[in-house]
Amino acid sequence: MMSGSTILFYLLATLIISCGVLSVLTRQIFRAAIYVLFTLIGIAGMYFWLQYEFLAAVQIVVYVGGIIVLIIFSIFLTQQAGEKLAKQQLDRKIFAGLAAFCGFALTIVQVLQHGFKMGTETPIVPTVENIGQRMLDVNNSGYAFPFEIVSILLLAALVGCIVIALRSKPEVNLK
Amino acid sequence: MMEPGLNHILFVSILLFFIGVYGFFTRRNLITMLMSIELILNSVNLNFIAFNKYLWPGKMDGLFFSIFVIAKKSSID
Repeated sequence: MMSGSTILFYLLATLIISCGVLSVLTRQIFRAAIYVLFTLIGIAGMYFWLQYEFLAAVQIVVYVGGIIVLIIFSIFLTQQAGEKLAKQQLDRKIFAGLAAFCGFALTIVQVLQHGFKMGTETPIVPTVENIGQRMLDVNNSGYAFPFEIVSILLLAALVGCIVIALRSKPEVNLK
Repeated sequence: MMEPGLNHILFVSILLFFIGVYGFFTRRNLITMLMSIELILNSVNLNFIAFNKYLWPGKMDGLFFSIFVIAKKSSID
């Protein structure tokens, strides 16, 4: 007898994999973006299934609400929507598929052969309180330093965007 | 159909990773390559979370790695 959570897992896995395959194979760029969107939603559902609710919320807000919208905007700004991409060369397809399949087979064999030791510690519930305390902890291997580094990186990306957007036009000679 | 455990999640994430690799190799358009990179990074995040949940439930390191990966990806975009 299958429980509800098992059925949910297989549904989510099917959603993730099928939408991923479709997004790679489709020749319309807008459809590819929509399939990636559904893959990301499936991964957010997988985080919910694993009971990491905070990360699932972050995934939905950042990826689905931010990055996919950005990608769709850039598609609309740079390409004709509805235009098909150029057909890929057959040899390139074959070699890429072969490389991906060989890598997949190698990795999956390694994973199945390796006996993982399941953790026996008492689990920490990843609530927002626990995450925040650990993130800003300076002692006992907290994550305050990488947090600062990431904030500087985000600031640098922002300033870079503004500099690119404000690039001045070439000077016009008025003589 | 078995009860899903660590190996099932690893299977999904490895498959998604190599789908992304295939897309990265075959696509020529910059935006679609970016989408493939997104698939790859998401599979890595799923991997981190699965290891954190099943192998080291008393720690939260995988969770933080995932959060930082998401932050970096959004700053790259």
